[in-house]
Amino acid sequence: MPRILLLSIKTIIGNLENLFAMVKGSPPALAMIMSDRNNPTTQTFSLKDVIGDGFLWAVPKHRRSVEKRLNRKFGFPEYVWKPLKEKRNLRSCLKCGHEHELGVLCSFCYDIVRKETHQMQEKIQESLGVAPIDQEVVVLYDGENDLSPEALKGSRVVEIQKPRPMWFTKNLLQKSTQQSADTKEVKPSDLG
Amino acid sequence: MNQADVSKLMSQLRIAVRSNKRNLKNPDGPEGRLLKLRKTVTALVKHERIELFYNRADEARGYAELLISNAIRHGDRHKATMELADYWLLEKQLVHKLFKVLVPRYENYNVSYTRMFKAPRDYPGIYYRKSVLELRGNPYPVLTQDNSQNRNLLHNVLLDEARKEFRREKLASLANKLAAETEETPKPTVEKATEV
Amino acid sequence: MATATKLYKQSWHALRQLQQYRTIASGNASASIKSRNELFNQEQKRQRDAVGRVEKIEVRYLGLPEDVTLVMNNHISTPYNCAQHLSEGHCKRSALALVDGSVPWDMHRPLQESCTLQLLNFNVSEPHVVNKAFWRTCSFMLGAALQRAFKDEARLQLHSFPGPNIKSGSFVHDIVLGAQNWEPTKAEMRAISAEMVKLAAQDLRIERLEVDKELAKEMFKDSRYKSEQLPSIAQQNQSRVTLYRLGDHIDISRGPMVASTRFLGKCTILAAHKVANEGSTDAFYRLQGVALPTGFSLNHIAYGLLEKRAQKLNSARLPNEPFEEQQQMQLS
Repeated sequence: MPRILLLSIKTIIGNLENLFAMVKGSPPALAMIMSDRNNPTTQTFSLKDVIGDGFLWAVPKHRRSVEKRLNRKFGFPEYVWKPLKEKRNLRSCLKCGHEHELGVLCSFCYDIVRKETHQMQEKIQESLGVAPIDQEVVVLYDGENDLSPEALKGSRVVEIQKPRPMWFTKNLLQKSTQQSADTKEVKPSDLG
Repeated sequence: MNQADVSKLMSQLRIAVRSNKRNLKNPDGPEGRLLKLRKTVTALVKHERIELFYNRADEARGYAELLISNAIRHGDRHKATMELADYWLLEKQLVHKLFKVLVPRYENYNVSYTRMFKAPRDYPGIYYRKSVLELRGNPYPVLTQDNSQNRNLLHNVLLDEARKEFRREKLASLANKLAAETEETPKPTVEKATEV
Repeated sequence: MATATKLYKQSWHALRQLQQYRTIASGNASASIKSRNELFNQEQKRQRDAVGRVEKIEVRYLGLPEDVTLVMNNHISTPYNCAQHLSEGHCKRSALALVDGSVPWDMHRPLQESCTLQLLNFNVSEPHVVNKAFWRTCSFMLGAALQRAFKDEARLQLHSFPGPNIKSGSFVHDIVLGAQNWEPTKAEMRAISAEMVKLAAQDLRIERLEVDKELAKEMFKDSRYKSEQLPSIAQQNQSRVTLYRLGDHIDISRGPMVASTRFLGKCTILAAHKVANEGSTDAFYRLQGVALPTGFSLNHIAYGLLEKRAQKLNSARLPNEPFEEQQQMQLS
C-alpha cells in the first residue's frame, strides 16, 4: 500500500516536471515546421492558388432578401399571384338557384335548354330535308292544335310527339294557377 | 351639297364588328380559315342556334349580320348580293331561306339580327371560351329570361303611372282648348245674326 | 364638370352646416331619443327572456334552390335565420318573407308557429308586397333622415306617414316645423337626400317590436302628435302598438318593412309642401321623394320624369285632416 502511494506521487512529480519543461523549451514538432519555412516553393503562396478557377461559380454571391424570397414563392398580387384565388364573379341564378359566373349563362338552365333545342333541331331538319326552305317553322308539341289556321298561314308546322315542357310555355308571365277552361262550375240546386 | 348619305351607301350593322381577324388556325391557310367561317355562317342560318368557340362565333357573326343586312337592302334581284349569299351559304337551299324567311322576319327589326352569349364550361375549363350564337326570332326556348317586361316591378309601376298621368294631362289640356274654342266661336255668329 | 363639382360643394356645405347645428344643439330631443331607445331595449330584452323553454317548430321553405324543411326555435328564429341556413346570397337578397303563402313577415321578426316560408326579393314575378314594404320603409327612413338633418332650433316634430301608395309616384313623410314660411332650397333638399343615402350605406338593420299601449305612451310622451295618434292606433290592434327601429330612430308603423336600409338604391327627396299652419308659429309640411331599390338601374331621363312627377303634392291623407281609419286601412 505505501509502495503504491509512493509510485503515484512519483508520477505526479514527473508530470509536473514535464509540464514546466514544455513552457520553458520549444516543443520538437514546432521546431520541425520552423525548419520547413526555408522551403522556396511556399514562398509565393496565395489564396487564388487554393481556390483556382471557377471554384465559387455555382454558389450565390449575395444573400437574397426576405421580400425577394417571398415574392418568388407567392408571386406579387397585382402581377402574378401563385396561390389559389377566390372567385368574386359568381352569382346564384335567379331562376334555378345554381351558381354561375357573371356574364355567362347558368350551366344548369342552359343544359336543359340545350337538350330541348337539340331535339327540336333534329325534328326540324328531319321534316325539312333538302328541299328549298321558304317558310317559317312553327313547332307544335303534343295536343297543341288550338292555333287558328291564320296564325299558321305561311309557316311550316313541325310536330313533336311529346307534351310541351312545363318551363317552356308560350307566355311565361301568365299565371299558372288559373282555372282550367274545361272544368265547369256547377251551382248547387235542390238543396231544399 | 350633293353628297350621298353614307348610311344609305353601306349596311349599318347593329353590332360592333372588330376589324382584326381572330386566330382560327388551319392547315390550309387563309382559304381553310375562310371555309371554316363559311361553314359557321351556313350552320347558323340552318340551325338558328349553334354552340361553338367564342373566337369563331364572334368573327362569323359579323359576316352573318352583313349578309342578312345586304339581303334586306338589295333583295334577291341584286347580283352582288346573290353572289355573296352563294359564297357564304354552302348548302344552296339556305339561299331560299335567306331571302324568303329571314328577310321578311328581320325587315322591321331595329336591333341586331343575331345574339351571342357566353356559354358555361366545366371548371377550370380549357383555355378557349365557349359561346352560343343564335338568330333572333327562332322557335327554341329562350336562353335568358327578360325581366324588364314584368310590369309589376317597382320602376315599371312608377313609369307606367307617370305615363298615364302624362296622357291624362294631355287630354285635359286638349279638352280645355276645345272648350275655349267653342266658347269663342259662338260670339261672332251672334254678332252676325244681329247684323242681319 | 365644373357645374357638377359646384353642386357637390354646395350640397356638401349644406350638409356640414346641418350637422354642425346638430352637434351644437344637443338638448331635449337627444335626451328623449335616448330614453326611448332604452325603453325599447328593455322591452326587447324582456320579450326575449319571456320565451323560456325553447320550443322547436318546423319551417317548410319553398323556393330556390330546393324545398327544404328546417327545424327552428319558436319565438326566437326569424326568416333571416332560415335564410342563413340556405346561403349567403339568400341572406343578402331577401327583403321580405312570406309566411304561409300569404302573410308578409319581416325578415327580423321571430316566427310564431310551424309554417311555410318564402323569401321575396324585388325581382320576383309578383312583387306587390315587397314593393309596398319598400315604399313604407322609404317613408320611415325619411323620418330618420330628417331627424338627423334638422337642428333643434328648427323644432322638428315628426307627425306620421300615410300608407304606401306606389302609384301616387312618391313616398311621403309629414312633419311639423317651427317655421311658417320655409321654402326649401335645392341644396337643402339635396342634403336630406344625402342623409338618406348615408343611412343606406350604413346598412342598418330594421327591428320590429310589438309593445303595450302603456309602454308606447311612455316612450312617446315627449312627442305631442304621436301620443295623440296612439289611442286610435292601439284600438285597432287590441291595444298593442307595433314599433320599428332604425339606428336610434323609433317610429310607429304597421309594417311590414324590408330587412335593412341597404335595399335603398337611388333616392331623391324632392319637395316639401306646406300643408297648413299649426298654431301661431308652426306649420305642417309634407316631404316627398322617390326611390328605387338597389340593383335597379334606370336611365337618367326616365328617372328625371319620375322626379318631376314626385314633386307634385301627394294626394294621400293630409296630417291636419281627421284621422280616418277606413282610409288608412285602404291605403296600407
